[in-house]
Amino acid sequence: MPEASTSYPGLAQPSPAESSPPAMIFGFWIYLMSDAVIFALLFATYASMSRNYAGGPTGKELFDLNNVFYETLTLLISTLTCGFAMLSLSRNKKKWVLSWLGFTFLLGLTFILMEHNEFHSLISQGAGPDRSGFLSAFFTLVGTHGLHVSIGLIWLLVMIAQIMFKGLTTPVRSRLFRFSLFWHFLDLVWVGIFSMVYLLGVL
Amino acid sequence: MKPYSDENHPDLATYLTGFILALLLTLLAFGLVITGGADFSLGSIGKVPGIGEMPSWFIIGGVIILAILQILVHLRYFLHLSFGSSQKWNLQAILFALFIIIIMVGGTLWIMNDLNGHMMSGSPGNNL
Repeated sequence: MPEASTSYPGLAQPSPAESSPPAMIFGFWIYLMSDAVIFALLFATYASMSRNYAGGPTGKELFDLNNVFYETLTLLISTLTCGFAMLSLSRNKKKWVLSWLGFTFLLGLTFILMEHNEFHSLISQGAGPDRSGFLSAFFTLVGTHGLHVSIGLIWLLVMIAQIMFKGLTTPVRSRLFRFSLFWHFLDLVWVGIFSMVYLLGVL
Repeated sequence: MKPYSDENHPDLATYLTGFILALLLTLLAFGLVITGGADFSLGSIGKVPGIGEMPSWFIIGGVIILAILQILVHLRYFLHLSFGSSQKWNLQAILFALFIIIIMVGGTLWIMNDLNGHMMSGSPGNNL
């Protein structure tokens, strides 16, 4: 079990009686690693299927790099505002924590809406997941990431409510820290998606 | 839990450094594909001088290396992973996950490529 916890931001207050936040953070880290294995296998599936167009459209015809660039930027800025929320948390500035988390939520929501528009336009062009092996693998990989971000948004709303009604208590801090790990991890997965799927897909 | 110490505490500079590095690597990756993409579709503009001159192995390799670098930047500056003693267990978990990923992903790609080589009678891209 991890002992030292000094590098976790926002967990300043000691908690004598409760189960220790570092242990729970390590447990969450294990979950993230299992999620990383899931994503890695979806990447492998996509890589095996990425040329199986079945006579349908290719990535070069379908992908809009402008849209992908704005999605990337939105997610990257939301990861920064999430980090700012954790910094405000370590300084016990409740209003700032709430504001930064609010920004994070809006940016995450923007990302999901952009992805929704992209999926909608692909499907309305007849390039849905049923069109070819390439598109099945594409929708599975990118959709799984989008699902994670959506669940992250729900979690974020719950955390905002908890801060408002419970305050910055130790359990809330611990949950917030785990949320920040989750959010940063999703941006890390997106780096793989925009590089492997979109950038290499338009070549 | 130990009392909080400010020494290892990720500060504003950590997040900003991570953000700027990630942004630079993203811009480099997009720039590499847009300016260097061999027969990259530019619509009616067609082939602009200086564009499409880079060999494709260079672009593909470049994008992959930039992605790996950016993932390392995210781990270091946003997920605060380091080689310090406080991160020993997290590091072991991620190394184990990496080990599993290399076996499973490498094995999948190897087997599927091999099968593809046996099954396909030419024409890559026409198979479902």
